[in-house]
Order: sequence, then structure tokens, then C-alpha cells
Amino acid sequence: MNDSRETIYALASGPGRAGIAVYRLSGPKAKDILTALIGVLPKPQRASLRTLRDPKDGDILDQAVVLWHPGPASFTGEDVAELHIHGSVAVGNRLLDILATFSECRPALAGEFARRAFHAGKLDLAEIEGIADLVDAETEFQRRQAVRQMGGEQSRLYDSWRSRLLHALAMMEAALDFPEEDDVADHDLVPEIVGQVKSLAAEFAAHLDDKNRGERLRDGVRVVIAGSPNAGKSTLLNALAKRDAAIVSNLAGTTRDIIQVDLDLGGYPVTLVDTAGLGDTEEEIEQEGIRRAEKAISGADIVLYLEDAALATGRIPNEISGCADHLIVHSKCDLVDKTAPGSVFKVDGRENLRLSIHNDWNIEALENWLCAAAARLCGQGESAGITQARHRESLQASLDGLREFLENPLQPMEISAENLRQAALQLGRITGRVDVEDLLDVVFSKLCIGK
Amino acid sequence: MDASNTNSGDIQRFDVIVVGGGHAGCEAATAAARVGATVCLVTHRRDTIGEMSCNPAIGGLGKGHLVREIDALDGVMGRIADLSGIQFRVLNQSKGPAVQGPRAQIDRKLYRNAMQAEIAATPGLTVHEGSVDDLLFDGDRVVGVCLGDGGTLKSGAVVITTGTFLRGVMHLGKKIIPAGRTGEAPANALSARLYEAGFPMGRLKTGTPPRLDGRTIDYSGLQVQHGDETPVPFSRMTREISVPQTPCHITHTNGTTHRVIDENIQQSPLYSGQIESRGPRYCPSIEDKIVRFGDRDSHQIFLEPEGLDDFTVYPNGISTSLPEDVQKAFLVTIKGLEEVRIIQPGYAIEYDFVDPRALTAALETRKWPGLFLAGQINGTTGYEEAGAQGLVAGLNAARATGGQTPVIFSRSDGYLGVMIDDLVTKGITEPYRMFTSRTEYRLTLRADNADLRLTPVGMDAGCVSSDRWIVFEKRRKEVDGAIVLARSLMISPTEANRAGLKVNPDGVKRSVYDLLAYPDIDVDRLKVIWPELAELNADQVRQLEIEALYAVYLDRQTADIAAFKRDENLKFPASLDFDAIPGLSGEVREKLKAVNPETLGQASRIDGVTPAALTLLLAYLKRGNFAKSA
Repeated sequence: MNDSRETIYALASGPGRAGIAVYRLSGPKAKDILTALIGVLPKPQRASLRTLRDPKDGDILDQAVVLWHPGPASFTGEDVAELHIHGSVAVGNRLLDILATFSECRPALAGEFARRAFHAGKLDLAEIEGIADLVDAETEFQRRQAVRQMGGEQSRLYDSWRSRLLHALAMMEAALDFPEEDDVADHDLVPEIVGQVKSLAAEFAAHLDDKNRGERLRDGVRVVIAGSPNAGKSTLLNALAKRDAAIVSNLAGTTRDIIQVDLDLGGYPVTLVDTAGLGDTEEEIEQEGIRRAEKAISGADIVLYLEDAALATGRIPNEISGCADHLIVHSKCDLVDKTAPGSVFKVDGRENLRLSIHNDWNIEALENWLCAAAARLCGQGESAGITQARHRESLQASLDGLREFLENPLQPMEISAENLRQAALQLGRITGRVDVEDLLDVVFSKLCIGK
Repeated sequence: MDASNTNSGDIQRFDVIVVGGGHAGCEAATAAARVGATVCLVTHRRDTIGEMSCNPAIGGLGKGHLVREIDALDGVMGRIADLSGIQFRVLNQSKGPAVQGPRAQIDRKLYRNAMQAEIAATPGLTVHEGSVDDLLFDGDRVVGVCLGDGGTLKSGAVVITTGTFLRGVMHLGKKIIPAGRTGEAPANALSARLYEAGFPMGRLKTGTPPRLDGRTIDYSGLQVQHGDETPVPFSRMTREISVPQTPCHITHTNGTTHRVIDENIQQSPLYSGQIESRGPRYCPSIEDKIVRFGDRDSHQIFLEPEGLDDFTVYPNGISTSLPEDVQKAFLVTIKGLEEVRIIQPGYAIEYDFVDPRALTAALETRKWPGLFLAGQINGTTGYEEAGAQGLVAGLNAARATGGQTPVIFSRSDGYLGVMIDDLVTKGITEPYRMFTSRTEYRLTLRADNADLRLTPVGMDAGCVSSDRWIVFEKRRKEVDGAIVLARSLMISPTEANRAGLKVNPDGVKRSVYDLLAYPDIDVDRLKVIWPELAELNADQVRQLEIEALYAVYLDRQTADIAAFKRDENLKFPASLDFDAIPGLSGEVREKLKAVNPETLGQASRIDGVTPAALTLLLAYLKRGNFAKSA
């Protein structure tokens, strides 16, 4: 899939909150796409301030500095467009959405710009070594991290898709490779596989539906604020959100439901979730609130566990100590401490922070800690938006393979298998490669082959 | 061939020495000779050259593809199989041509005799009977062999194809017999030499079923399996199959059989712990089948004749290493085998192999230049896999002796390229067998076009005879002509529909080539519209229909192959020191050093080599200081 006939795009600048984010396009369609976005092309190699519009409805997206480098005098030797837009995650994601609508245009693979540049004889060693660092962030580890970032539910979903597709393909490959085995039934096989592929295709399509996508893009890193009743969770949420998203009162048990706020924290999309206090209670509505809180904690990427500094017990609930990223926050410490406390400290290997919202003690330290944690989760190399755009692209291509298979399942089986192979290859870009050894494992564990 | 043994008292010199007279050895020796090398084939026994020690069949899915590729490079296996095949069948005829594999039951004696005659008639090829105990060196370079009788033979290169003979051990119940195969001594000294030298080695296991006396089998009531009405030969050089054809029979194990085996399972060396090495998953012993697939109430057995005038029958599907009395006890529970006599009991065999990651894609050892390995010694199984490696090793050994660059077959060239790349890049965990699922370009790499893909490569490499080339040139012209014709004959949708062809009325003209991609349209139907199509011969029609059927996918694969080749053509210099490349992580560095990839493409297929590492390698290549040596 290193086909240079396709136009590729990616965020070329680093992630995180920056004044400017640079998106780069390279390939034969760069010119058409740029024209569609800004109208008349700027002079080659000249920075020009333009209005970016969605070509579909003419909506204004952003003011951008645009550069046009026609090939071969460009970074990759191909036609290259550079869009310097404002570094907001929302604008970036919107731009990626728009780029994804162009045909023969897709997110760049790891190292693909460098590779094209290399093939065009454009890179020297120093340049390519610099690029290698960036590419490093896009490796297998990064992929797993990205899947984890999607949340447990989604990653389980992708894994189940992978194993179902693997199974369908394995049965097909077995019928092709072992026609003489009585364990391999090829007459009933195709209708059975058609059923499996149909349901996979329906699930892929539903997943790719734009309605869901908006939600996923908004769902950034989930930060859950938990703690005993009246520890000041809602106050903290409001302080971080800098607006009154939660009703705050000093009555224990005020927050009975889940309240959430989406934030842009240092360029990372963060969803801040306030929960009901985790205390013993007889009240039914409050009990329900606690159940929901526990559920929110189990789905959290990061947990801020609040304890009233005056009432600190030092006992941390199990579901929180099991969470990979958590911070114990001692709230209302102005009621205990005379002077501003120090920054994050460790007790038994756990990170702790003393905080007073009333006195504005350590709120910035907390923000910095959250940023660092979010950066760890999102990976250094690329924004969640890019990862998701790439996943989306691969899933779409995989769905195309499934649909091609379904279009005419009765054609010669090796052609049907080719479509499923394509689908598996594309899904493998998200879930990890589907290797022939994986296929053979399925074949030999499910079927008794042995002529 | 010199009929007398070479006198090992004198020091003799050859261009290439081939150790072993099995399927790898025969292809290696004849390939080297075709390139013009003087070759000595050293084997324990002249009369076992070309022996089929396992099942009496050649070809199948993937394997049949390999035989056609061997044939395309003017190798011998296909032609010899055509002279000795007693039941030809093209497998998967209900599916498309890319996954059809030619297969034949072989008369073992006819095969052996024809192979020995072929070896004898090959100019420049001498056979020496004896064992090889050690290698001769000049520095690190292998320059000959030391024979078991104390003599030496010198050469420019040595190809070792010792199959299962390296520290071969047969298991039959509790009996352990050192042997390369029944009744033949193993090659322990040579194995010890390779161990001492520090080659990474491992141990594999394979098994065979008992051989049965066909005169004691009751075939009445058994399912009969005939060959194809018109046998399709393996070789493009074969005009017709003239050996009489004979059927196979199929019977099945049953509940009683399974109970007998189950009750005696602890007597199987596989389950008593006597054998620890790994056997192939795709060729389990009958013990394995019953333990692992306990829910199956029956397993099929193909009763394959070993020859026209040989009553030995090979019961394919029940390889076993149970003691002989248990073998007898379970056999007589099987329909048709109630009175059966065992000629030779089944056994498991364990043997040494060299981790093929120690080899280059030319199948030359990196440690000792001039030494090539091919066949089961590299961890593969099967005659076809062995033969294909033998051909590549023999060809490259001869070229190395002549100071020529090696000929490397890539994954996009053919199944033999896929196999060799898998071996030298990934190594093996079980005996390696070819499957069509192993190739990325399955619709392109077909048995029907092996000659079109590879004979020109073989011609350039110098291993294709002029007879073969004449036959090939004629066929290529015919096929090309048919395709050009089919692309030139056009029809509009209106005309097509008028002629009864269901085509979208989109105003786009279609060629005969386009029309043939429709599942319900073949050349026969189109002759009515274009009488000139009737001029095409059967082979032209078939090839045209295949190419047209896959046209859309072939275009796609051609693009994939072009992308693949770009990385494959970026060759590392042989002297590349991965330690000297800055920025590689320790882990990646170790992985690269273990495999020593020859190209950027090969590096990308090593597990754990990251895109970042590839980028660095690319940059290093780009510096260009190696360009010449690559």
C-alpha cells in the first residue's frame, strides 16, 4: 500500500496545544484538494493567508497560512500543500474529516512522507534521522496505545472483529489448500461465511457512521473525579472547567448523577467526569449514583481521587488503586495547612497532591499533572485525531473488501478469498497484522488436516 | 556419467559437489550441470538416488506450483514425474485456476529408475558412492569434502542435501534405531561438524505410516478414486502421459480403531516423552489425530499404490510410531484391511536441521561461503520443497564457482521465492510445507503460468536448455498473440446485447478480453461473433480465459508487486554492520543481526523491526557508500 498514486496527508507539526498546527498533503491530488479548500492556488513556495472552507457547504473552517509546493521541487518530490491552521483540536479534526472525503486520498502511513521523499531522492541523512524519531511514535507500541486509548470496550470490539474475520478467512484458505481433507467441507462453506461477513460488514458500517464518530472524537481522555461524599469533587470540576457545570453545595450527596465536561487541556481532548461520592448510604437515588460512579471509574483513563484533607483516611478503594493513572488529591487543605503546600509527592509509590481551590493552591500543578498523564495516554507522536482518522480509513478499506466479497460470493473461491484477505490486511493495520501463521493456527486447531 | 566409482585415492576437483541423492540433491546436481559446471554427486548408495522415502505422490496445492516452477527453470522433477506417474489429478478443479494444483501418484521404481537415468545422461555430472564426514576449508571458504574412506574431493562449492540423515533416529514403539531412513545409516559425523562450527541447529520430527501388502487388502466395497480422464502432465516438455494409469482407494478408521489406539497411547514415543521435537501440525500421526480431535468418529485413509508391479500400498493418513503389534491391531479394525499384512511398520524419525536464518537467499551459508544447504536440512518437508531449494542452491553454487552473482527469487517471482524468503527471514518452528495461503500474490503466481514467469529468468541465469527455450518461445508467442487479439476485438453494449451477451448498456465499448471476465462468457460463446477466435488452440484459449478472469485483480497485484519490488531492490551490502548504524534500538539491532536481511524489503518482514528502524536503514543505504557492493 505504498502506492504513490494516492495522495496522503498528516499532521506535520507536533501534537499538543500550539499556536499553529501544520497539516501536509502530498500526491497527485494535492492540487485539486487545495483548490477545493481555498479556491485559487497561491504562488509556489509563497506563504499566503487564506480562508479554509468546507467544499461541501462553503462553511468557513479557519484562517490559514497556505503554502503550495508543486513537484518535483518539494519535500517529497510530489505536489505538496501545507496548511498552517490554528492549533485547536476541533479545527484539526474537522480538517481531517474533510480530507477523508476526497477519493484516492488517505492518512499517511508511518514514515510514508519520508519514504516518498527518499524515493524521490530528496532526503539527506540528518533529515531522515530526525524524521525517524517522529516515525518511532507510530510503531506497534503506539498502535496498541491508541487502541487502549479508545477504551476497553472498543478495543475488545476490534479484537472480536479480528478473530471473526480471521476465522472466516481461515476456513476459506483451508478449503483452498486442503481440498482432499474430509474435515474441510467446501460446499456449505460459502453460505456460512457469507452470513458471518454480512454481520461483520453491518457492524463496521454502523461503527463508521458519522453520528458515532462525533462522539468518539469528543471522547478524549476520560478523567474521572471520585472520592468520598462532600470531598469537593464538583468544586474541583468547576475549577478545572472554569465554569459552573456542576451544582455545588456543601451538602454531602449533592451530585447524584454523572456530570461531564469536555476540555482542551494542553491540546489534548479531555472529558472530565464528576461522580457521586462513594460513601455508605441508605438513599435509593444516591445508591444508584454510587453505582454509576463505580462504572465511570472502571471506564476511566485517569482517576483523581479526592479526600478531604481534614478527614483523610488513607484508605483507597480497590477499583481506584487498580487504575493505571491516578492521583490522590487532598482537598480543602487550606482548612488544615497554614501555608501553600508543595507539589506532587509520593506515599507508598502513589502520587499525592495537596490542594485548595479556595486559596488557589496547586490548581496549576494539578493541570500540569493531568497534561502529562494525557500526553502519556495519547502518545507523543500524534494527536488522537490523526490516529482515529487512520483507523477510520483502515476500517473503511476493510469494509470495502467485505462488501466486494458480498457483492458476488459465488465467484471462484480464490477471488472471494482475495477480497477477505484485503479486508483482513486493512483491519490488521488497526488490530495488528493478520499473519499467515495466525491463519494456519486457526486452520490446524479447528480442522484435522493430515493427508 | 562415468560408470565406475571415482577413485578416492587421488584428489579430484569439481566445480560443485552435491552431498545427497534425494530430491534436493538431484535438482542441485542437474541444475549446476546445466549451468555448465562439472559436478560430483556423493551419495551413500547409487541405487537409492531419486528414492521417494515417504508417500508415493508428487504435487498438490502449493507443491504442484513448485513442481511447475522447477520445470520452468528446466529442472528434472516434473519430467521424471511425468515418466512415472500412475494417477494424475488436478486438485481443486471446482475452483479457479490460481488454486488448482497438479498432483500425481508415482510408481516409485519408475521414478527412481528414470531419475537415475537422467543423472547418468547429464553431461558433466559424476556420481561417487560414499559418505561425507567433513568439509575442506580454505580459511572460512568451503573448498571440498572429506570422504568416509579417507579420500577427499575438491570443489569450488559444496551443496549439502542430506535430508533426514543428520543424526537421524527412527522411533518404533520403544525401539530407537539410528538411521536416515529404513535400512540406511545416518550422517552423524557431518552433523557433529556443523554443531561444532556453531551453526544454529534444531531437531524436527516426522513420521510415516506402515507399508501394507496390497494382495492382503480387500478392495471390494472401498471407495475408488480415479485420476483425471485426460492426465495433465507437470512438464511443458511432456507431450503426453504414456504410463498406464491406476486408481487409489479410500477407507476410514472407526470407533474400534480409535479405541485400540487410545488404549495403547502410552506406548507411542510421541506420548511417552521419548520424542520431544516438534512435528508438523498439518501431518499429525494417527495418535495425534485421535487425541487432539477426539470428537471425530472417523478419519479417512488413502490407499496409494507404490507402483504398477509393486504390491506395496502406502496408507496415507495414518502415520504412526506405535509398536508394530499395536499397528497391526488397529489396522485390522479398518474396512478392507481385516487380513492385512504389514510389509514395513510405520515409524517416527527425528533429525537435525540447520536454522535457515543462517543462509542467504541464494541458500549459501553466511558463515562458510561456498557451502550451500537445501532440502530437509533447512527444516522443510516434502519432495517439491526440497527439489525447488536444490535447484536454487545448485544453480547458485555453480554460479559462485564461475564468479557470477547469485540468482535470487523474490516473493513476487514465485512460490520458490516465497519459500526461501520465509525460511531465511522467519526461520521455522515446524517442518515447513508450502501452502497457497503463504503467498501474497496468489492470483498472479499460478501453476499455469510458471513458465511464463520463470523460464526467461532461468534463461538469463543460464540453467535453461535450448530445447526448453524453443518450446517456451513458441508458447509465449501464442499466448501473447491470443491476448493481443482479445484486446483488439471490440463490441458496443448494444451490439453485445443483440448477440445475447448481458452487458450494462453504459455506452462503453468492451473487448473480448473484458467480456471474458464475466463468469458466464467464455471463448466458445464469442466465436459466433468473432470467427477468428476459432483459430486459437486449446492452450491459448485456456490461458486467455484465465488472464481475463483475474484481470482486475492482476492489475491490483501488479501495482502491489511494483511497490514490493521497490523495497526489495534496495539491497544491503553483504558487509553491512548493523552495529555501525546509529540510532537503532538494541532490540532491533539484535533482530537484524540474527537474520542479516539482504534487502530493505526483507528487513521489513522481520518481526519487531519498526518503521523507524527501516527509515534509518533506508537513510544508511541512501548514503550510497555501499551501492557498488550491493
